[in-house]
Amino acid sequence: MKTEEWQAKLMDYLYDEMAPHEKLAFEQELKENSALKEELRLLENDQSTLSKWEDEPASAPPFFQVYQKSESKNKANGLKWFMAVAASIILLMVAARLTEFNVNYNADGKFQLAFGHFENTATEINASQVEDLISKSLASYDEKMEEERALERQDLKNQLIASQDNQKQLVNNYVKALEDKHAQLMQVYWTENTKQQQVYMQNLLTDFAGYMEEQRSEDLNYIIAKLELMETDKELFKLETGEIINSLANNTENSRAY
Amino acid sequence: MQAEASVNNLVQEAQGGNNDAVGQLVQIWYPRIYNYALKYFSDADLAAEATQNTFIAMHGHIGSLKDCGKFKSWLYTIVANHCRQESRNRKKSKWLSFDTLLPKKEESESPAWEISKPAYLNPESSFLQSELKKTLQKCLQQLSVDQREVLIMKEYEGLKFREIAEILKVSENTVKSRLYYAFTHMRKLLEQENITQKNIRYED
Repeated sequence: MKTEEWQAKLMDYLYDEMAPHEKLAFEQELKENSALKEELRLLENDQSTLSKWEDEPASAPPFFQVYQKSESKNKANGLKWFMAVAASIILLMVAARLTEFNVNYNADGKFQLAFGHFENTATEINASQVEDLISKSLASYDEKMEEERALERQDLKNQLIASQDNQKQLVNNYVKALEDKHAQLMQVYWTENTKQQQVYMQNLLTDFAGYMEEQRSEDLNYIIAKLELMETDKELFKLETGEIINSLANNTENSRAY
Repeated sequence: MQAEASVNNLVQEAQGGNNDAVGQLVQIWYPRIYNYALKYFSDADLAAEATQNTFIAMHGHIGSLKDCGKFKSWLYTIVANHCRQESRNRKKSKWLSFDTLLPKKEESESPAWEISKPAYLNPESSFLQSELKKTLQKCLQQLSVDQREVLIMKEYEGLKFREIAEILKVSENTVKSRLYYAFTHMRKLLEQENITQKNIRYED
């Protein structure tokens, strides 16, 4: 049997899609063929591993509640459209009538739209009149702007003076508060400092006195030691001198004997 | 069998223009189609989009389905085509979603085992389940499209070999062969990730 056929049979057996007689024959083959059995075992293991991945819970979103689709090619639908358009036109006509909406071409052949009567708005003015109008309006505009500027300047000046006084007062108050605080701090500092100096001096004097006492006792010990040493030297000197005298006396006696 | 008959009735009603029946079909099949697409892409957004497109196509073309008994194969054909089309489009234009780069809010605030569903007996098993799922997703994405399709349809969707052959328009033996190689390939990939049956049993 070809490899592909064995693969197909393995898959069929794995998913139990085999006819009963084929299944029996395959199971018999499995008993005899250890390699095939091992292959099936591996496939079953793979299947078991893959089955650990469970489905995600999912539900259809609400917009899948399908809307009723309109049959656009329906005749009744066509009639509906026609009726809707006709009703809209009638509504527009009624509205135009109520608002006295008029459409017209005037004598110059211009297209005009109006609610109510048409009015002849065309008035002719020459170029010099236009210039006058413009210059007058500019002059009045300049005057108005100048007045507004003067008022604004005055306001600004007043505000500046007021704010200057306020600021001066604020700075004075701040400086005074700062000075007071500073003086208070200095007072506290000096008081504390004096106390610390006193304590320091007392400690220093105590330590110095102790030191002097220690020094004096050490000096005394030194002198006593020196004196003792001198005494010892003196005794030794006496002994040596005695020995020398004795030896001299002995020498004198011996020379007399000869 | 009864469920199949009920689905056939719904398909007939949907073909007759009953939109409630279409809605019911969507409600019944949405989880299966979504999970197929999710396993195919390993991306919830793409899966939701493919599922949505599948049901829109189903709604638009259900009238053209001749045999109501083949509704299931027909639906899987649509979703498989959509998934393949989306894969091709993605290959043409590579893009990277911010969702994949940045941790989602819920993920940054809570460890994976807390948000994974369904809830497991304890945080450890839940965490291990979540890790195994991630590894399986990764390995499945490394299979070829042909092998991946067959593996998902057979292993997770439980389709018959005959149905898969019909959906993919290939012979049954080809389906079996692809599935066999998909298994062996997955085994190698999982071994590379140090996932073996022994480890899984120990973790269980």
